[in-house]
Amino acid sequence: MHRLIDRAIEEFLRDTYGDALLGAVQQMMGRAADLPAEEGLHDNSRIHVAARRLAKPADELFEDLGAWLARQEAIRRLLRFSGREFAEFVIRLDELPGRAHMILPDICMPAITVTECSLGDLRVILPERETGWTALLAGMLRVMADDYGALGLISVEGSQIGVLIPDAEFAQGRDFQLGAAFAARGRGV
Amino acid sequence: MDGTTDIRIADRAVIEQLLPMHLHLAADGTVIGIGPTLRKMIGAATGPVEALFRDARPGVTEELSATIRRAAGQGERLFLRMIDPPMLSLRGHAVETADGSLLVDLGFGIALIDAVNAAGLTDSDFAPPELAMELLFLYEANRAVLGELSSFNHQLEEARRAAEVKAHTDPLTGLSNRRGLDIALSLAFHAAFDPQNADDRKAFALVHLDLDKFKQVNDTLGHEAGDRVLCDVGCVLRETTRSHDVAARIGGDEFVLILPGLQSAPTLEKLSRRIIDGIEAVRVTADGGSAVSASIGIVLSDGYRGLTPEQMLRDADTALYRSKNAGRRRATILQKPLV
Repeated sequence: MHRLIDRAIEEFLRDTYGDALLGAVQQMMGRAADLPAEEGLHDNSRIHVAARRLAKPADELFEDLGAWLARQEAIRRLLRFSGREFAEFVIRLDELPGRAHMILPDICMPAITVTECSLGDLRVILPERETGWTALLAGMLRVMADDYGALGLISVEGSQIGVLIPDAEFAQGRDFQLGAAFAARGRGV
Repeated sequence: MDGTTDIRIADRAVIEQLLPMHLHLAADGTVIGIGPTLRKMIGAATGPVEALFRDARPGVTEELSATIRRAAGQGERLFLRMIDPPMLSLRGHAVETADGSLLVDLGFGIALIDAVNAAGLTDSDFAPPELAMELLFLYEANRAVLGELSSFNHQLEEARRAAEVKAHTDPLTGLSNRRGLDIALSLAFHAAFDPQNADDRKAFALVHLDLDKFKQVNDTLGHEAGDRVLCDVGCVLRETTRSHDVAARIGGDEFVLILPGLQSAPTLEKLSRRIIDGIEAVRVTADGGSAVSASIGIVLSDGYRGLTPEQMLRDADTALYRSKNAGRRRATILQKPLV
């Protein structure tokens, strides 16, 4: 597990459920801090342990994690570089693993394929066993649709995400100025 | 309107779209067109190019329009600096068109980040083939990741320090352990005999202490009681020494002290008395019964020049055994090394 991901998960659990849950998870994992660094997200035990503790499906927790990540200002901004509008953002998701790899060379993010079934009906496809990443991406997409001010309907089936965009300019999106990050200090993960 | 003018108007629209950072100069160097992104920074000025830019390279005295014309002819690079704020440096190249005018295409290079801030540029200000958005993405990503990594490094450094302290600490008494003593002794030895630092030598005393009758406590009252006694002895040693002294437990009931600056035998004798009194006051049983005492051997660093810390420890041990043989509960101070 990449330490940055590890820390993001830790912060997410702390932010959402408080120190007590995080402490319980750490305890259940035993020597959690000494886990090998090479595990991919799909066998991330920390999320699975937390899910068991919360009596929630793990995928639901991955989806919450994706949404939480997209709400972190530094990450939100990096995601917004991928497209001027929501549809472009979704279509260019196939670049996301490349972008992630460019920043964190040892991150193992699965390949993403995007197809357009009809206008405004997009399908984001991940490798079959990557349901954790699929859930995470779905949570991220829900938040990013709001961020762009688009009405986006996100549905998950296995390792595929359906994205319907009935209205690309549904509401006022959040501001994205290119220079903003250099003045303001984003909260980083 | 003649045919030539029509083509030039059509060209201008194409050039505006294709090259948002261009500068179009008449043959005499007068500005006749500025790309939309460049306009955001220098305005829609007309007039001589020298009023807007100068050569960014130092020591160039040639008129800028002449430099541009030569660059166009010879395929050289141009480095232009804005005369007015935001005073950015741009780089580019120039071509001479069929009508003798000069078309200069400019780009930001590494000044991109300043330009984005200064001129409030957006995604649509860059031609799509440009890597500006990717550069900005990487710049932000890099800063975010570096920020995180530096906090990791901080955590790692703290963990390393904690581990180091732990590695040199005796968990039972909280005093230094054998490794901690070896390091402290070699540092003290170095400070006492450092040839680089002859004016500021730091003599020290090395104290070897062994509990008397401790084995009986362990045998009759059990290891738990024994451990309690060792803890209490640790407290006595901490209380009777100064903060910059080193106190270590180097095995079962053996302790070593390093006392910088102490060479006077009377002072050391008084200190030994306090330590022995303190240890004899340690309660071993619940009813206040006292059983342990201590024997002490002391050596002084003066005289150990050219010798080794190991020899000092050996001599302190010998001194300790002289105290034991002389009836225990006392200190023996050796004035010079045993040979």
